Amino acid sequence: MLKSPRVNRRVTELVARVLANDDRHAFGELVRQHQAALRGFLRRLTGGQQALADDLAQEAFLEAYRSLARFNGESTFGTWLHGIAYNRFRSARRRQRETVEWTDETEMANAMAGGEMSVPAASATVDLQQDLAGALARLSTDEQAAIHLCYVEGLTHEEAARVLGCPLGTLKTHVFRAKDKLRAILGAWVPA
Amino acid sequence: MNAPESSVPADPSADDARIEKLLREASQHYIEDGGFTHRILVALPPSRRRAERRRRVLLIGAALLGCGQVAVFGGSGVGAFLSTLMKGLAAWSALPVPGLGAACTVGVLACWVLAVAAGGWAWVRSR
Repeated sequence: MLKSPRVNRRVTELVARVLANDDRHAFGELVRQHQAALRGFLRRLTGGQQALADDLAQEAFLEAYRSLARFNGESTFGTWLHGIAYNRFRSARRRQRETVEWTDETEMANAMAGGEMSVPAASATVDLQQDLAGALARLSTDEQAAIHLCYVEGLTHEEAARVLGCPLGTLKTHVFRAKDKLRAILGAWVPA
Repeated sequence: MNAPESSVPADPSADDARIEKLLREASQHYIEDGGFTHRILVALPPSRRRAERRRRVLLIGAALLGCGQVAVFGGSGVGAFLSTLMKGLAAWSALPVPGLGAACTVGVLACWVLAVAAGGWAWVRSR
């Protein structure tokens, strides 16, 4: 998330106001600034399940409020928030796995999509964005998260690795494999 | 190794650029707030400052109530105890030890100042 220094200063002021005075208006402003990106990230991870994504986003914001004193400014506020949201998503996925047996990540991703995303058909009439969404749904969760953070939200590799809680090398591997798979799946849409 | 004449060499960097362009275009769709922020604010726990203020009021109120109860219901026993305590302190200071009385006074005053300072510091920290 490439933000200007002015925006970062503004976020820092808002965080300081929440910590010093429990300023609800300041926290509301933080939510407004970051809700779109966070909900988009979670919708990507949940395969388009908007209600589930919004629930997870709400849990993430509430946890951010409770643990705001632990935000030390080493990363941007958005990066820190995405890390909380990703952990929430993993917990929810673990809980779902305990009730239903999954065999692999791809099957899990497709199942969590709840049938809202279909495997892209090799047809010229299929909408490009739907194909992209379908192609992304076939990646593993970590690969989807890595691609989304790096290319949709514009995080650096270091920031994305921090969000996902993995080493930088692992993050780069996820990105490399994801792009490989997307290249293969979307090959029909790439103009010659 | 010679590449087959009919094949076009792959250009991964061009493919990557196209995929990145597709991904960025997919992100243009902004998710409207639609009351999401309001739901978050409603779900926040009760204000921390209000909770701390309430705790301070309860502590001070309980302490005052306790003192009041002792004063009202302690009866003559309380007065007798305080009187004995004062006499004991006076006896200490009357001992033929040079400066003992002054030391006791300074010591008591120092304890009082420390207690007030500690209470003030704890109050400031809690804000």
